[in-house]
Amino acid sequence: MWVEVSLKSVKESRVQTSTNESQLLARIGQGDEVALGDLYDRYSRPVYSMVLRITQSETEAEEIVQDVFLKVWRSAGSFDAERAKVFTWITTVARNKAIDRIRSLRRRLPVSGRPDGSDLVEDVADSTDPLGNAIFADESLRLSHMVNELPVKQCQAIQLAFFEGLTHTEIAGRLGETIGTVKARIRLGMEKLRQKVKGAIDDFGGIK
Amino acid sequence: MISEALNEQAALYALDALQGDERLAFLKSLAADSELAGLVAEYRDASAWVAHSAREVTPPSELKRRILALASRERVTPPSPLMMLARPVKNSQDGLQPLIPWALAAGFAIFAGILWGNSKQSNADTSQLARQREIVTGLFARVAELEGNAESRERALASMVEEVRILQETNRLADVQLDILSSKLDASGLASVVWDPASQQGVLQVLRLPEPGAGQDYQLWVIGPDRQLPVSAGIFRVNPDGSATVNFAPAQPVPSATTFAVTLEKAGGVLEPEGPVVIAN
Repeated sequence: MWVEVSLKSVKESRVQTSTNESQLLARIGQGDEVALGDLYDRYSRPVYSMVLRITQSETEAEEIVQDVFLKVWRSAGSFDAERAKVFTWITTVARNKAIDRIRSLRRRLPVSGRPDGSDLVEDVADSTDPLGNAIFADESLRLSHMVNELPVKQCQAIQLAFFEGLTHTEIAGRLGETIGTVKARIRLGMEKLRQKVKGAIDDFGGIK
Repeated sequence: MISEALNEQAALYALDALQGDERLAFLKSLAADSELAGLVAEYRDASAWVAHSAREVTPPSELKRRILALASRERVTPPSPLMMLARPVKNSQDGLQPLIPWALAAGFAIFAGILWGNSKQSNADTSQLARQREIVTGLFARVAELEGNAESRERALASMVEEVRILQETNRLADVQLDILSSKLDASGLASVVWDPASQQGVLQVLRLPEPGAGQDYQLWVIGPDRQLPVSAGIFRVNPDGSATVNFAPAQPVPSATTFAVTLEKAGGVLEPEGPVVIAN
Protein backbone atom coordinates (compact mmCIF):
# COMPACT_ATOMS: atom_id res chain seq x y z
CA MET A 1 0.00 0.00 0.00
CA TRP A 2 2.75 2.42 0.97
CA VAL A 3 4.63 1.50 -2.19
CA GLU A 4 1.59 2.17 -4.34
CA VAL A 5 1.04 5.55 -2.75
CA SER A 6 4.71 6.44 -3.16
CA LEU A 7 4.75 5.39 -6.79
CA LYS A 8 1.63 7.37 -7.50
CA SER A 9 3.16 10.35 -5.78
CA VAL A 10 6.32 10.08 -7.86
CA LYS A 11 4.35 9.77 -11.09
CA GLU A 12 2.22 12.76 -10.21
CA SER A 13 5.35 14.71 -9.40
CA ARG A 14 6.85 13.89 -12.76
CA VAL A 15 3.73 14.92 -14.61
CA GLN A 16 3.68 18.10 -12.59
CA THR A 17 7.35 18.66 -13.42
CA SER A 18 6.60 18.40 -17.12
CA THR A 19 3.77 20.88 -16.76
CA ASN A 20 5.99 23.14 -14.71
CA GLU A 21 8.50 23.07 -17.50
CA SER A 22 6.01 24.45 -19.99
CA GLN A 23 5.12 27.07 -17.43
CA LEU A 24 8.81 27.83 -16.91
CA LEU A 25 9.21 28.46 -20.63
CA ALA A 26 6.14 30.66 -20.62
CA ARG A 27 7.52 32.67 -17.71
CA ILE A 28 10.90 32.99 -19.39
CA GLY A 29 9.12 34.23 -22.49
CA GLN A 30 7.63 36.95 -20.33
CA GLY A 31 11.04 38.01 -19.10
CA ASP A 32 11.07 36.17 -15.76
CA GLU A 33 14.73 35.81 -14.79
CA VAL A 34 13.95 33.52 -11.85
CA ALA A 35 12.39 31.07 -14.28
CA LEU A 36 15.50 31.25 -16.45
CA GLY A 37 17.55 30.45 -13.36
CA ASP A 38 15.36 27.46 -12.58
CA LEU A 39 15.68 26.12 -16.11
CA TYR A 40 19.43 26.62 -15.87
CA ASP A 41 19.55 24.68 -12.60
CA ARG A 42 17.73 21.82 -14.24
CA TYR A 43 19.64 21.52 -17.50
CA SER A 44 22.98 23.25 -17.21
CA ARG A 45 24.89 20.28 -15.85
CA PRO A 46 24.01 17.73 -18.57
CA VAL A 47 24.32 20.37 -21.27
CA TYR A 48 27.65 21.65 -19.97
CA SER A 49 28.96 18.11 -19.55
CA MET A 50 27.97 17.25 -23.10
CA VAL A 51 29.53 20.38 -24.59
CA LEU A 52 32.70 19.91 -22.54
CA ARG A 53 32.96 16.34 -23.79
CA ILE A 54 32.60 17.54 -27.38
CA THR A 55 34.84 20.60 -27.29
CA GLN A 56 37.30 19.42 -24.64
CA SER A 57 37.56 23.05 -23.63
CA GLU A 58 36.09 24.56 -20.51
CA THR A 59 36.20 28.05 -21.98
CA GLU A 60 34.28 27.05 -25.07
CA ALA A 61 31.85 24.95 -23.05
CA GLU A 62 31.05 27.96 -20.89
CA GLU A 63 30.62 30.19 -23.95
CA ILE A 64 28.31 27.71 -25.63
CA VAL A 65 26.19 27.10 -22.53
CA GLN A 66 25.93 30.85 -22.11
CA ASP A 67 24.88 31.28 -25.74
CA VAL A 68 22.31 28.52 -25.45
CA PHE A 69 20.62 29.85 -22.34
CA LEU A 70 20.59 33.37 -23.76
CA LYS A 71 19.00 31.90 -26.86
CA VAL A 72 16.38 30.32 -24.61
CA TRP A 73 15.91 33.71 -22.97
CA ARG A 74 15.30 35.37 -26.33
CA SER A 75 13.28 32.62 -27.95
CA ALA A 76 11.25 31.05 -25.14
CA GLY A 77 8.22 33.12 -26.01
CA SER A 78 7.96 31.54 -29.42
CA PHE A 79 8.87 28.01 -28.44
CA ASP A 80 6.00 25.56 -28.68
CA ALA A 81 6.51 23.27 -25.72
CA GLU A 82 3.57 21.15 -26.76
CA ARG A 83 5.23 20.15 -29.99
CA ALA A 84 8.86 19.80 -29.05
CA LYS A 85 10.65 18.76 -25.92
CA VAL A 86 12.58 21.43 -24.15
CA PHE A 87 15.52 19.21 -23.32
CA THR A 88 15.76 18.01 -26.92
CA TRP A 89 15.68 21.59 -28.12
CA ILE A 90 18.34 22.83 -25.73
CA THR A 91 20.56 19.80 -26.25
CA THR A 92 20.28 20.03 -30.02
CA VAL A 93 21.14 23.70 -30.12
CA ALA A 94 24.08 23.21 -27.75
CA ARG A 95 25.38 20.18 -29.60
CA ASN A 96 25.13 21.92 -32.97
CA LYS A 97 27.16 24.82 -31.66
CA ALA A 98 29.74 22.52 -30.13
CA ILE A 99 30.05 20.34 -33.22
CA ASP A 100 30.35 23.46 -35.38
CA ARG A 101 33.26 24.56 -33.22
CA ILE A 102 35.16 21.30 -33.43
CA ARG A 103 34.48 20.90 -37.12
CA SER A 104 35.89 24.33 -37.79
CA LEU A 105 38.78 24.05 -35.40
CA ARG A 106 39.41 20.31 -35.55
CA ARG A 107 41.54 20.30 -32.56
CA ARG A 108 41.51 18.76 -29.14
CA LEU A 109 42.79 20.45 -26.04
CA PRO A 110 43.24 18.63 -22.79
CA VAL A 111 40.54 19.27 -20.26
CA SER A 112 42.02 20.85 -17.20
CA GLY A 113 39.05 19.35 -15.46
CA ARG A 114 37.65 19.39 -12.06
CA PRO A 115 38.13 16.52 -9.70
CA ASP A 116 35.66 13.75 -10.29
CA GLY A 117 32.94 13.58 -7.74
CA SER A 118 33.74 16.65 -5.74
CA ASP A 119 31.80 18.91 -8.05
CA LEU A 120 28.93 16.66 -8.93
CA VAL A 121 26.61 17.65 -6.16
CA GLU A 122 24.03 19.94 -7.65
CA ASP A 123 23.19 22.78 -5.38
CA VAL A 124 19.46 22.20 -5.57
CA ALA A 125 18.97 23.95 -2.27
CA ASP A 126 19.42 27.28 -4.03
CA SER A 127 16.89 26.46 -6.68
CA THR A 128 13.34 27.69 -6.51
CA ASP A 129 12.21 24.35 -7.90
CA PRO A 130 14.28 21.75 -6.03
CA LEU A 131 11.69 18.98 -6.47
CA GLY A 132 11.56 19.40 -10.23
CA ASN A 133 15.32 19.49 -10.46
CA ALA A 134 15.72 16.46 -8.23
CA ILE A 135 13.27 14.48 -10.36
CA PHE A 136 15.07 15.53 -13.51
CA ALA A 137 18.41 14.57 -11.97
CA ASP A 138 16.99 11.15 -11.07
CA GLU A 139 15.66 10.73 -14.61
CA SER A 140 19.00 11.79 -16.03
CA LEU A 141 20.81 9.17 -14.00
CA ARG A 142 18.41 6.48 -15.14
CA LEU A 143 18.76 7.49 -18.78
CA SER A 144 22.52 7.78 -18.61
CA HIS A 145 22.57 4.20 -17.40
CA MET A 146 20.26 3.35 -20.25
CA VAL A 147 22.78 4.64 -22.80
CA ASN A 148 25.68 2.92 -21.10
CA GLU A 149 23.74 -0.34 -20.92
CA LEU A 150 23.69 -0.60 -24.70
CA PRO A 151 26.00 -3.23 -26.16
CA VAL A 152 29.48 -1.71 -26.18
CA LYS A 153 29.86 -1.54 -29.95
CA GLN A 154 26.47 0.08 -30.44
CA CYS A 155 27.18 2.60 -27.67
CA GLN A 156 30.61 3.33 -29.14
CA ALA A 157 29.25 4.03 -32.64
CA ILE A 158 26.48 6.26 -31.31
CA GLN A 159 28.83 8.18 -29.06
CA LEU A 160 31.30 8.76 -31.90
CA ALA A 161 28.50 10.29 -33.95
CA PHE A 162 27.06 12.28 -31.08
CA PHE A 163 30.15 13.58 -29.32
CA GLU A 164 32.60 13.80 -32.21
CA GLY A 165 30.21 14.67 -35.01
CA LEU A 166 31.49 11.85 -37.20
CA THR A 167 29.52 10.53 -40.16
CA HIS A 168 28.91 6.83 -40.58
CA THR A 169 31.77 6.64 -43.07
CA GLU A 170 34.15 8.31 -40.65
CA ILE A 171 33.00 6.07 -37.83
CA ALA A 172 33.61 3.01 -40.01
CA GLY A 173 37.11 4.27 -40.74
CA ARG A 174 37.79 4.98 -37.09
CA LEU A 175 36.59 1.56 -35.94
CA GLY A 176 37.93 -0.42 -38.87
CA GLU A 177 34.47 -1.76 -39.63
CA THR A 178 32.38 -1.78 -42.77
CA ILE A 179 29.91 1.04 -43.32
CA GLY A 180 27.07 -1.46 -43.28
CA THR A 181 28.12 -2.77 -39.88
CA VAL A 182 28.32 0.72 -38.43
CA LYS A 183 24.93 1.68 -39.82
CA ALA A 184 23.35 -1.44 -38.38
CA ARG A 185 24.89 -0.84 -34.96
CA ILE A 186 23.69 2.74 -34.86
CA ARG A 187 20.24 1.72 -35.99
CA LEU A 188 19.94 -1.03 -33.36
CA GLY A 189 21.26 1.14 -30.57
CA MET A 190 19.12 4.11 -31.47
CA GLU A 191 16.04 1.93 -31.75
CA LYS A 192 16.63 0.65 -28.21
CA LEU A 193 17.11 4.18 -26.92
CA ARG A 194 14.03 5.37 -28.75
CA GLN A 195 11.88 2.65 -27.22
CA LYS A 196 13.22 3.31 -23.74
CA VAL A 197 12.81 7.06 -23.94
CA LYS A 198 9.33 6.59 -25.38
CA GLY A 199 8.52 4.19 -22.57
CA ALA A 200 9.77 6.63 -20.00
CA ILE A 201 7.60 9.36 -21.48
CA ASP A 202 4.56 7.10 -21.54
CA ASP A 203 5.18 5.98 -17.96
CA PHE A 204 5.68 9.34 -16.46
CA GLY A 205 3.70 11.74 -18.56
CA GLY A 206 6.56 13.31 -20.40
CA ILE A 207 10.20 14.08 -19.98
CA LYS A 208 10.16 17.46 -21.52
CA MET B 1 4.85 1.84 -43.13
CA ILE B 2 8.46 2.90 -42.91
CA SER B 3 10.95 0.64 -44.65
CA GLU B 4 13.96 -0.78 -42.82
CA ALA B 5 16.27 1.28 -45.00
CA LEU B 6 14.48 4.52 -44.18
CA ASN B 7 14.34 3.58 -40.52
CA GLU B 8 18.09 3.09 -40.53
CA GLN B 9 18.60 6.40 -42.31
CA ALA B 10 16.30 8.12 -39.81
CA ALA B 11 18.45 6.89 -36.92
CA LEU B 12 21.60 8.09 -38.65
CA TYR B 13 20.01 11.41 -39.63
CA ALA B 14 18.95 12.11 -36.04
CA LEU B 15 22.58 11.73 -35.03
CA ASP B 16 23.76 13.82 -38.01
CA ALA B 17 25.71 10.80 -39.19
CA LEU B 18 24.07 10.60 -42.59
CA GLN B 19 25.97 12.20 -45.42
CA GLY B 20 26.14 13.03 -49.11
CA ASP B 21 23.61 11.75 -51.59
CA GLU B 22 22.08 9.44 -49.03
CA ARG B 23 21.34 12.43 -46.82
CA LEU B 24 19.76 14.38 -49.67
CA ALA B 25 17.64 11.42 -50.73
CA PHE B 26 16.53 10.93 -47.16
CA LEU B 27 15.62 14.59 -46.83
CA LYS B 28 13.45 14.30 -49.89
CA SER B 29 11.64 11.35 -48.34
CA LEU B 30 11.34 13.22 -45.08
CA ALA B 31 9.72 16.17 -46.80
CA ALA B 32 6.89 14.02 -48.07
CA ASP B 33 6.30 11.61 -45.21
CA SER B 34 4.78 12.74 -41.92
CA GLU B 35 5.20 9.30 -40.35
CA LEU B 36 8.91 9.42 -41.12
CA ALA B 37 9.10 12.93 -39.67
CA GLY B 38 7.56 11.59 -36.48
CA LEU B 39 10.10 8.78 -36.32
CA VAL B 40 12.95 11.26 -36.78
CA ALA B 41 11.56 13.37 -33.96
CA GLU B 42 11.55 10.32 -31.68
CA TYR B 43 15.09 9.40 -32.68
CA ARG B 44 16.14 12.96 -32.03
CA ASP B 45 14.58 12.84 -28.56
CA ALA B 46 16.49 9.62 -27.97
CA SER B 47 19.74 11.10 -29.24
CA ALA B 48 19.38 14.05 -26.87
CA TRP B 49 19.65 11.64 -23.98
CA VAL B 50 23.02 10.43 -25.21
CA ALA B 51 24.20 13.70 -23.70
CA HIS B 52 23.75 12.10 -20.30
CA SER B 53 26.38 9.51 -21.01
CA ALA B 54 29.07 12.18 -20.78
CA ARG B 55 30.96 12.31 -17.51
CA GLU B 56 29.03 14.75 -15.40
CA VAL B 57 30.75 18.00 -14.64
CA THR B 58 29.07 20.88 -12.89
CA PRO B 59 29.58 24.20 -14.66
CA PRO B 60 31.32 26.91 -12.67
CA SER B 61 28.95 28.70 -10.37
CA GLU B 62 29.76 32.09 -11.84
CA LEU B 63 28.36 30.98 -15.20
CA LYS B 64 24.80 31.13 -13.94
CA ARG B 65 25.35 34.59 -12.51
CA ARG B 66 26.89 35.73 -15.79
CA ILE B 67 24.01 34.41 -17.88
CA LEU B 68 21.40 35.97 -15.64
CA ALA B 69 23.28 39.26 -15.66
CA LEU B 70 23.48 39.23 -19.46
CA ALA B 71 19.82 38.33 -19.73
CA SER B 72 18.93 41.16 -17.44
CA ARG B 73 21.12 43.58 -19.36
CA GLU B 74 19.58 42.63 -22.69
CA ARG B 75 16.21 43.62 -21.40
CA VAL B 76 17.34 47.10 -20.44
CA THR B 77 19.73 47.81 -23.30
CA PRO B 78 19.09 51.43 -24.32
CA PRO B 79 18.39 52.02 -28.00
CA SER B 80 20.92 53.76 -30.21
CA PRO B 81 20.18 57.16 -31.70
CA LEU B 82 21.83 56.14 -34.96
CA MET B 83 20.00 54.78 -37.93
CA MET B 84 22.88 54.69 -40.33
CA LEU B 85 22.02 51.28 -41.67
CA ALA B 86 18.30 51.62 -42.11
CA ARG B 87 17.21 51.75 -45.70
CA PRO B 88 14.77 50.07 -48.06
CA VAL B 89 15.43 46.57 -49.29
CA LYS B 90 17.26 46.44 -52.57
CA ASN B 91 17.01 43.66 -55.08
CA SER B 92 20.42 44.06 -56.51
CA GLN B 93 21.52 41.40 -58.95
CA ASP B 94 25.15 42.38 -58.69
CA GLY B 95 27.47 39.64 -57.71
CA LEU B 96 24.74 37.11 -57.13
CA GLN B 97 25.81 34.65 -59.78
CA PRO B 98 28.10 32.69 -57.49
CA LEU B 99 25.28 32.36 -55.02
CA ILE B 100 22.72 30.87 -57.35
CA PRO B 101 23.48 27.28 -56.40
CA TRP B 102 23.52 28.32 -52.79
CA ALA B 103 20.25 30.17 -53.06
CA LEU B 104 18.63 27.30 -54.88
CA ALA B 105 19.92 24.91 -52.30
CA ALA B 106 18.57 27.14 -49.58
CA GLY B 107 15.30 27.36 -51.42
CA PHE B 108 15.14 23.64 -51.62
CA ALA B 109 15.95 23.25 -47.96
CA ILE B 110 13.34 25.77 -46.95
CA PHE B 111 10.67 24.20 -49.08
CA ALA B 112 11.65 20.79 -47.82
CA GLY B 113 11.30 22.12 -44.31
CA ILE B 114 7.96 23.69 -45.09
CA LEU B 115 6.78 20.45 -46.58
CA TRP B 116 8.03 18.61 -43.55
CA GLY B 117 6.16 20.95 -41.28
CA ASN B 118 3.05 20.93 -43.39
CA SER B 119 3.04 17.22 -43.75
CA LYS B 120 2.66 16.95 -40.02
CA GLN B 121 -0.69 18.64 -40.21
CA SER B 122 -3.44 16.21 -41.01
CA ASN B 123 -5.60 17.10 -44.00
CA ALA B 124 -3.52 20.11 -44.87
CA ASP B 125 -4.13 21.99 -48.06
CA THR B 126 -3.33 19.19 -50.46
CA SER B 127 -3.25 21.34 -53.55
CA GLN B 128 -0.73 23.65 -51.91
CA LEU B 129 1.32 20.66 -50.84
CA ALA B 130 1.24 19.33 -54.37
CA ARG B 131 2.45 22.66 -55.70
CA GLN B 132 5.22 22.77 -53.13
CA ARG B 133 6.27 19.25 -54.02
CA GLU B 134 6.51 20.30 -57.63
CA ILE B 135 8.69 23.22 -56.62
CA VAL B 136 10.95 20.97 -54.59
CA THR B 137 11.26 18.55 -57.46
CA GLY B 138 12.07 21.41 -59.79
CA LEU B 139 14.65 22.80 -57.43
CA PHE B 140 16.28 19.41 -57.15
CA ALA B 141 16.54 19.21 -60.90
CA ARG B 142 17.94 22.73 -61.24
CA VAL B 143 20.51 22.23 -58.51
CA ALA B 144 21.63 19.06 -60.24
CA GLU B 145 21.96 20.84 -63.59
CA LEU B 146 23.96 23.78 -62.33
CA GLU B 147 27.48 24.07 -63.46
CA GLY B 148 30.19 24.74 -60.97
CA ASN B 149 32.02 23.07 -58.20
CA ALA B 150 29.92 20.13 -57.13
CA GLU B 151 31.73 19.78 -53.87
CA SER B 152 31.09 23.36 -52.84
CA ARG B 153 27.46 23.05 -53.86
CA GLU B 154 27.04 19.96 -51.74
CA ARG B 155 28.76 21.60 -48.83
CA ALA B 156 26.59 24.69 -49.12
CA LEU B 157 23.47 22.59 -49.39
CA ALA B 158 24.39 20.46 -46.42
CA SER B 159 25.06 23.58 -44.46
CA MET B 160 21.76 25.17 -45.39
CA VAL B 161 19.92 21.98 -44.56
CA GLU B 162 21.48 22.12 -41.15
CA GLU B 163 20.27 25.66 -40.73
CA VAL B 164 16.76 24.75 -41.66
CA ARG B 165 16.91 21.84 -39.26
CA ILE B 166 17.87 24.20 -36.48
CA LEU B 167 14.90 26.34 -37.34
CA GLN B 168 12.74 23.25 -37.36
CA GLU B 169 13.73 22.65 -33.80
CA THR B 170 11.74 25.68 -32.83
CA ASN B 171 8.84 24.63 -35.04
CA ARG B 172 8.63 27.96 -36.73
CA LEU B 173 9.43 27.54 -40.36
CA ALA B 174 6.43 28.63 -42.33
CA ASP B 175 7.44 32.26 -42.71
CA VAL B 176 11.13 31.72 -43.18
CA GLN B 177 12.70 34.18 -45.58
CA LEU B 178 16.00 34.10 -47.40
CA ASP B 179 18.09 37.18 -48.03
CA ILE B 180 21.30 37.43 -50.00
CA LEU B 181 23.85 39.89 -48.71
CA SER B 182 26.61 41.28 -50.88
CA SER B 183 29.81 43.11 -50.12
CA LYS B 184 29.76 46.86 -49.62
CA LEU B 185 33.51 47.30 -49.46
CA ASP B 186 34.88 45.10 -52.20
CA ALA B 187 33.74 42.21 -54.33
CA SER B 188 34.89 39.46 -52.06
CA GLY B 189 32.40 39.06 -49.23
CA LEU B 190 29.16 37.19 -49.69
CA ALA B 191 26.52 36.13 -47.26
CA SER B 192 23.03 34.78 -46.93
CA VAL B 193 20.55 35.03 -44.13
CA VAL B 194 17.80 32.58 -43.43
CA TRP B 195 15.43 34.47 -41.15
CA ASP B 196 12.39 33.23 -39.29
CA PRO B 197 10.33 36.21 -38.12
CA ALA B 198 8.02 34.07 -36.03
CA SER B 199 10.73 32.85 -33.70
CA GLN B 200 12.96 35.90 -34.27
CA GLN B 201 15.88 33.65 -35.10
CA GLY B 202 18.06 33.34 -38.11
CA VAL B 203 21.19 31.86 -39.52
CA LEU B 204 23.84 33.94 -41.21
CA GLN B 205 26.30 32.31 -43.56
CA VAL B 206 29.24 34.27 -44.85
CA LEU B 207 31.92 33.45 -47.37
CA ARG B 208 35.26 35.05 -48.05
CA LEU B 209 35.20 37.66 -45.32
CA PRO B 210 38.70 38.70 -44.37
CA GLU B 211 39.82 38.30 -40.78
CA PRO B 212 38.94 41.44 -38.86
CA GLY B 213 41.90 43.44 -37.70
CA ALA B 214 43.28 43.21 -34.21
CA GLY B 215 40.83 44.58 -31.68
CA GLN B 216 37.92 44.29 -34.09
CA ASP B 217 34.88 42.04 -34.51
CA TYR B 218 32.19 41.65 -37.10
CA GLN B 219 28.75 42.53 -35.77
CA LEU B 220 25.40 41.64 -37.30
CA TRP B 221 22.44 44.04 -37.26
CA VAL B 222 18.78 43.47 -38.01
CA ILE B 223 16.76 46.39 -39.32
CA GLY B 224 13.07 46.81 -39.90
CA PRO B 225 10.51 49.59 -40.34
CA ASP B 226 9.02 48.82 -36.95
CA ARG B 227 12.34 49.64 -35.27
CA GLN B 228 13.80 53.08 -35.59
CA LEU B 229 17.25 51.78 -34.84
CA PRO B 230 19.34 48.83 -35.95
CA VAL B 231 19.11 45.97 -33.47
CA SER B 232 22.26 44.07 -32.68
CA ALA B 233 22.25 40.35 -33.36
CA GLY B 234 25.70 39.82 -31.88
CA ILE B 235 29.29 39.61 -32.93
CA PHE B 236 30.84 36.69 -34.76
CA ARG B 237 34.17 35.32 -35.89
CA VAL B 238 35.15 33.94 -39.25
CA ASN B 239 37.11 30.80 -39.94
CA PRO B 240 40.55 31.06 -41.53
CA ASP B 241 38.94 30.56 -44.96
CA GLY B 242 36.66 33.53 -44.35
CA SER B 243 33.51 31.50 -43.79
CA ALA B 244 31.18 31.45 -40.83
CA THR B 245 27.81 30.05 -39.90
CA VAL B 246 26.15 32.06 -37.19
CA ASN B 247 22.88 31.30 -35.43
CA PHE B 248 21.51 34.60 -34.25
CA ALA B 249 18.62 36.30 -32.54
CA PRO B 250 18.37 40.07 -32.31
CA ALA B 251 18.57 41.59 -28.86
CA GLN B 252 15.10 43.02 -29.35
CA PRO B 253 12.27 41.74 -31.56
CA VAL B 254 12.22 42.99 -35.13
CA PRO B 255 8.84 41.79 -36.41
CA SER B 256 9.28 43.01 -39.98
CA ALA B 257 12.99 42.70 -40.62
CA THR B 258 13.94 43.91 -44.07
CA THR B 259 17.66 44.46 -43.87
CA PHE B 260 20.54 42.47 -42.47
CA ALA B 261 23.92 44.07 -42.30
CA VAL B 262 27.36 43.27 -40.99
CA THR B 263 29.61 46.04 -39.73
CA LEU B 264 33.17 46.01 -38.54
CA GLU B 265 33.26 47.15 -34.94
CA LYS B 266 35.63 47.27 -32.04
CA ALA B 267 36.19 43.95 -30.27
CA GLY B 268 33.27 42.82 -28.19
CA GLY B 269 30.74 44.75 -30.22
CA VAL B 270 28.95 48.03 -29.72
CA LEU B 271 25.46 49.07 -28.74
CA GLU B 272 25.10 51.21 -31.85
CA PRO B 273 26.68 50.66 -35.25
CA GLU B 274 29.79 52.78 -35.58
CA GLY B 275 32.05 51.05 -38.07
CA PRO B 276 31.80 50.53 -41.83
CA VAL B 277 29.13 48.32 -43.37
CA VAL B 278 30.89 45.25 -44.72
CA ILE B 279 27.99 43.32 -46.21
CA ALA B 280 24.27 44.02 -46.42
CA ASN B 281 21.24 43.30 -48.55
